[in-house]
Amino acid sequence: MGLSRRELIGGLGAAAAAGGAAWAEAERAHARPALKWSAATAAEMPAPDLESLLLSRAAFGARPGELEHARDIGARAWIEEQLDFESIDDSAVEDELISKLPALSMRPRQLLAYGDNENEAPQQLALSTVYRFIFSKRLIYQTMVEFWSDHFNIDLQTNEARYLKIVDDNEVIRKHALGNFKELLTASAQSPAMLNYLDNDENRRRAPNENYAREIMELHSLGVAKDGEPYTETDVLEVAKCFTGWTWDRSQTSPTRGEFLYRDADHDNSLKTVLGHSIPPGGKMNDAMRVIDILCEHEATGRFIATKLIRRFVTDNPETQTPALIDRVAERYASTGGDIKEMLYAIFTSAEFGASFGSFGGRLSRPVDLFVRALRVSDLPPSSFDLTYSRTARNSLYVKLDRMLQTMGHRLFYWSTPDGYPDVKEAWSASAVMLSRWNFGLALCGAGDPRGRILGAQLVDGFTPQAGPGARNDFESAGAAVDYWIERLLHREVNPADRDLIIDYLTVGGTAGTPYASVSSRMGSMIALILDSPYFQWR
Amino acid sequence: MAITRRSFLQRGSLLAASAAVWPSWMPRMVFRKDGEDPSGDVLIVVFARGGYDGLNMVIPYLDEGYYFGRRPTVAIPAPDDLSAPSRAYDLDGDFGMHPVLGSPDAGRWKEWFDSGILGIVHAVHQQDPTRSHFDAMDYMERGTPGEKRMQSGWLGRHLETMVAKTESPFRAVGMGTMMQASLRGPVPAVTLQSIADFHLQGRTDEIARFQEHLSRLYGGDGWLDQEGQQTFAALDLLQERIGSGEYTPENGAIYLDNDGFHQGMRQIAQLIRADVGLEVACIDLGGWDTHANQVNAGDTTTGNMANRLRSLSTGVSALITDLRNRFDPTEKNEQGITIVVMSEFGRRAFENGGLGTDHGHGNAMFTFGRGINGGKVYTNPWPGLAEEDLDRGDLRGTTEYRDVLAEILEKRIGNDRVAEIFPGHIFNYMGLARPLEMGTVAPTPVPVPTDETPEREHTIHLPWTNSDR
Repeated sequence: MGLSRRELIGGLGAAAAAGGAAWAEAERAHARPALKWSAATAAEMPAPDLESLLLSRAAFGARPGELEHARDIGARAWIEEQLDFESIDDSAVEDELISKLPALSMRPRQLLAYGDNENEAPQQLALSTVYRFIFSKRLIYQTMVEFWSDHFNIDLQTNEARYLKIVDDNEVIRKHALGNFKELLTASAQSPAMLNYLDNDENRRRAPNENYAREIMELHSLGVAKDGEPYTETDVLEVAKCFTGWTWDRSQTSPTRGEFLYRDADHDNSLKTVLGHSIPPGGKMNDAMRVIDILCEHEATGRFIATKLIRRFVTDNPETQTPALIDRVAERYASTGGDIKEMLYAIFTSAEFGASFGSFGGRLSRPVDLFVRALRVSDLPPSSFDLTYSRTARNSLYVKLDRMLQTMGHRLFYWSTPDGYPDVKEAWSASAVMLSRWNFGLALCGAGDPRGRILGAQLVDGFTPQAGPGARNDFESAGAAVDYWIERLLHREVNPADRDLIIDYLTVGGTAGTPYASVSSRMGSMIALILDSPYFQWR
Repeated sequence: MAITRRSFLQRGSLLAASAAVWPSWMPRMVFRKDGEDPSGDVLIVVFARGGYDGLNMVIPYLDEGYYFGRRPTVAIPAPDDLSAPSRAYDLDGDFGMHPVLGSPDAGRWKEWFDSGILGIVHAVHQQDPTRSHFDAMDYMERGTPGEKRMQSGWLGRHLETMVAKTESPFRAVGMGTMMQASLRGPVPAVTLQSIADFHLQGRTDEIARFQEHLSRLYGGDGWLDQEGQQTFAALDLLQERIGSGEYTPENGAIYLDNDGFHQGMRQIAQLIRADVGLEVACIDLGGWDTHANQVNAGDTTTGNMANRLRSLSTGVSALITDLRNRFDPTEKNEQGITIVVMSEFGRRAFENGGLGTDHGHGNAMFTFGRGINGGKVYTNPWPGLAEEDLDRGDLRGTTEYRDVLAEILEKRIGNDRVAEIFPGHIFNYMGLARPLEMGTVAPTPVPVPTDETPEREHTIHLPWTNSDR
């Protein structure tokens, strides 16, 4: 498990070469199941095969059958299939959500008038997001929804944005998650929730507010400036002028209440200069459209987006560990005019991705990823997820997850600052978070404490992995049961000493040959032990 | 605490033989040696979420014409208003204290003020005009008003820049369900809702073996193994020092059972007494956004805000009573405690017509401790409530809150790297606290002259700051 050692000595050259070899081999014999890495690439923890790595990094884990399918068609075909997400039928999930959660399909004016319960719309959004993560078949797509929700973070504790974020989720994030970056950025710039969250609805000719102008450059496109590069404080002020008048319709009586609105009377029509480009007077709303063009065409934007994507899928530290991959993915951005699928394809088919498991210090699951992945590998059926949310449903799965995420500081859409939840491992390893990770595993397997205040003895009423659909529950020996669950949950081997530890736990000091019948009562906590181990916490 | 897999497995057999529930391999941590120099105070930061109305907590009767004029239905009656059913306590002839805070039967803060361990700073603000709760809290907790670039919080940077006296996992604790943003940073803070819940939650007949095996699965020398070990150390330490969680307050202190703030303060007291290496604790209490029905019409010293004040003041006083020695200026042996009570902004000078007040700016801050130059309302100077003295209709700020915090960090906690904790701020101390090394009570506070305070310029690079950009 000494990933740090690997990080120190594991030069990229060796890792990349081995990754390339793995890819070559996967290409040659993709139908062969459970392809193993050459020993040289693995850190002390046995690495997954390429398809398993994809399901764990480019998806929220594999439901039973999904990994087998990926291995059948091969990694490259799986990536192509997933990137062509519109061809994957997700209607069962969407129909269920639309029928149960009315706020999801409301117009802005309806959302703003949505009852007195200011929690209802935000809760329906978070609930539907978790449900889609768990049950959608559009796997890469869902990870990108999560990615862009952080990139274009909007905190639900913000005035009207708390209602209007649902529209942003539909029209900005989900609409463009695998589309074109410029269209995505444009949609975000015209999203009432974003305009409200970053105060552009207060940005007027006579009283400019530079909050959004700064963040669209620093966080959404170019990346943070250093020593006036690529933008200066003057550029921030000039961009703010270009965006004056971009607001949303606050009129109580308007049929377009809550929708994007350009208010010419508030627009600053003077000459502006942005990143060296002159924007002549009189451009009205096109001034800001021109800014978006300038930002999207800037070389720094491609590099910034490439770097963040690589951080999400390959390594916490792309700048130092995979600079050549940043170059290549940024090049895809430039040559395709910001095609997000093309950038992802370049990442997933790279040697660096193939070698990433043990090479770069590991990617630790954030709490949401951990929860969703555990529920997916243990095959939670949709019927076990109660969508009839109400504040009184204190024991429903969602309410428990939500409370747990609050404890762990990863409540969906509740990150207060515009930079989105951090995506590096150090942010998610505090003692209370580690403890919550472990208590989650115990409760999911029905091995929790009946008096435990947040999760209780069991996370989901009537469901545990060992009693889930299709779970085997008869084995010739304790060792066979352990091996089954290691493969089922991790899709790879564990170190022999750790396998022995798990057998020791299950059999109370016995051996792999201990009869299954005598240990079956401890299966729940044994499965929790695997989920709680470092093996499952890494993704 | 870096335990290698090999040493771990070797000890494994010993462990099995001893059959101890709690692993005996964990070296007993000693946090303070007898005869050592007195360490800095434990810092407790109480954050009142929602913006408490400082003008009704510490009432500026020196401006009574304006005060009563702007607040005809919510004002607190003056100390000499014998016709009122209840009235403020006089502090110094200029300011009065809300009766719930001051009463010997309720908050007892008048008693702490008179005995010199409570210093009040009035017309405190942060250098940003926001009247948004979230922005104001966010800026305040980051310690960078108007700036959201720095990811860490002011207490996180304080811990980062302190030389760690211990390896305790409990150097910093955030009470509640979500870690306070002020604690964000590279030094891990334990978020603790309840000491009783801070354990692996499984069936009692299985969980000790489960924990033993799980800790061995985290027995390698990788990064995550060490994070896991840190958590096991925290679990272990709590078990060793606190065990089943029984706690008996001393000196007749009463923490109310049905009051979350009281229970939080009780657990902080428990951690301090258990000597787990606590340096900083954060605790919140909400309910201060009193736009409506802040006061009852018949008696303005009662109502929603008075109820919140009761919880706040009695909770603070329960801890002071419980740990009385640590607030005693003549006490030399026990480690001291400094408590700071703050809120994101004050409320408007004008009431709003609904027996309430809207979001404002300048506010009051309260500091308790044996090293505080208390018994005084620091105003720096009082800005006044006349029309031209107000800031957009609100109490103007004359003291920046970072000056209060920095003075306490530097003098009471012993961290002189405040320029890195509050980057870009130009410090202006007011003599609110006495330096640790003095050890004795200064007869009179010695204010630091403004024009002699050096302007500190610096460039800092905290690794955490840029971790995700």
